[in-house]
Amino acid sequence: MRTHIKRITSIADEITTFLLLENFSKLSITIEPKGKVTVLHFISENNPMTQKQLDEILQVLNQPRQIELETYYWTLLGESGTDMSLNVVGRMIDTADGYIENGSVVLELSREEIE
Amino acid sequence: MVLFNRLKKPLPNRLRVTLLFYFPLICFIGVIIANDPLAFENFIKIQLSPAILLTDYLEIGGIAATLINVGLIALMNILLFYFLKLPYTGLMFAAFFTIFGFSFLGMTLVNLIPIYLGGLLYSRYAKIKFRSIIMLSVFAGTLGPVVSHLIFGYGFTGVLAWTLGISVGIILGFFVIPIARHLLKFHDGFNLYNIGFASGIIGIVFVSVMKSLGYPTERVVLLYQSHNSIILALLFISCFYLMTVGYFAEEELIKKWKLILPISGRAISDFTEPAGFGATLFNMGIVGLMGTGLVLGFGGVVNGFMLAAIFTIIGFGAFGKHPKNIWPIFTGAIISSLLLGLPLNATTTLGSILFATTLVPIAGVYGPGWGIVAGFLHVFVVRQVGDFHGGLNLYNNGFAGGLVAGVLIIIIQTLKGGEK
Repeated sequence: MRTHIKRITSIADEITTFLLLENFSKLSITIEPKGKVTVLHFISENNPMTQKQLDEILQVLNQPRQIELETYYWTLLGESGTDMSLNVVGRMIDTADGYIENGSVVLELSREEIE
Repeated sequence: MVLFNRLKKPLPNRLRVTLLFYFPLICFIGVIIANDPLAFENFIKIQLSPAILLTDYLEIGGIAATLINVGLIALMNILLFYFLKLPYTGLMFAAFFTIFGFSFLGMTLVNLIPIYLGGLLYSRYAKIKFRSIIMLSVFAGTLGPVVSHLIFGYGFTGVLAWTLGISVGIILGFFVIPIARHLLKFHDGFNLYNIGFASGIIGIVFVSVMKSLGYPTERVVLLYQSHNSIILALLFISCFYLMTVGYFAEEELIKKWKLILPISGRAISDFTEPAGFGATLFNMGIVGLMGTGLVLGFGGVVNGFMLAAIFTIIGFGAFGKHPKNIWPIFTGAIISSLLLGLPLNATTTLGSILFATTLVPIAGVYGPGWGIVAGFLHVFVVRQVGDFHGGLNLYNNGFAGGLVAGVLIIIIQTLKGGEK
């Protein structure tokens, strides 16, 4: 359980780092456990990210989940905020959704706890 | 051809794993061609060897016996992957070909099984599925010499020797997984052979304890030094097999392969996802030919050590290595070898150059210039650190690579004034 929590915080850390690299006025993070599924919600207000950039990020985040990779590599998260780190996040989550609305970037990641 | 055409369609992962059956098969064909009446006897000799670096099984057991060892280990791992329903991934290819190569140089059924059992115990203890960590257990075979040396090398005998060897193997197989995971942070994923780095540190602790108890660990150099057509054929056919399957499995092969080249190689760089199955296999064949070309180009002998190095490069051709990030590392390692006056056709020199590619992420992330520096430094470090763990860690270059990467990335980041 403790590792599971650390993995959630690492994902939050990585996405936060990534969003902090851009200019913004306010960043809100919500972590919502729903049974075995945890939903992470990020809202970065007045973020200059373009739709194209967001689509590229979502493509990386929506790679198939790979437990075999996650078990070993999740400790790499939270350091760099690079595309390669997002790649690790993509292997650890089940779905990623996002959109831009009124200049705010909204990201929603969902992760089910499985062995 | 029907099979190849079938590959272009979505194929169940389990079936794709079966493509690896080619590798034990070609080993067993090699055994038949070698026609050695002492093959089985020598196979037993290999199983009973202390397995310490550098023990080339081609030297101590001959071609046929070595190929039996390699074929059986490959078969055992493929069956494990198959029955555990592992998806084909870059990491799986990296693990398989690393162990395939090192079955020529230190890994045996005797010393691998206790380490796998340790991994199985860890999965039970951590309440995770064994399939989630099997790849780490496969890589952890690097500590095989600890098991073999306890049973056959330190002078213990009978039940005590076997009990010590198997117990320590299980314990190391258990703990190497969390230790390796923790040590990833030291080099931040810039050293591809991270289990080698972790095992080097474990090896230092183990060797220190044994030495303090009056059991020093003596390194050996037993290298096969003849050219052999069966071994060369095994290598070339393996590379062309991968490229051919890749060619038939992917309609837009070159276009897909080009998707691999901009990838940095830093963990996690699984080429099967962005480029697909066919292009990944093609890349594995290409980098295998690069490694083979380097050895033959400098007049080296393709022995067990070279096979371990080249097959490891082939495996990581699915998980980090491609021509664009390999060449700077090769260049740097060749320059330092020349500066040190090392003969470029010597097995140990070529091994250092080939295995220096553990540092390809540095070239991929920071550019070819820093890649050359990384390869350059690697040769200096790897020549010194083997004695630290007494040759009990087969991935000595992974240990050296971890040290180089851990120091170099801090230097690079400091000079760059921090990343944005």
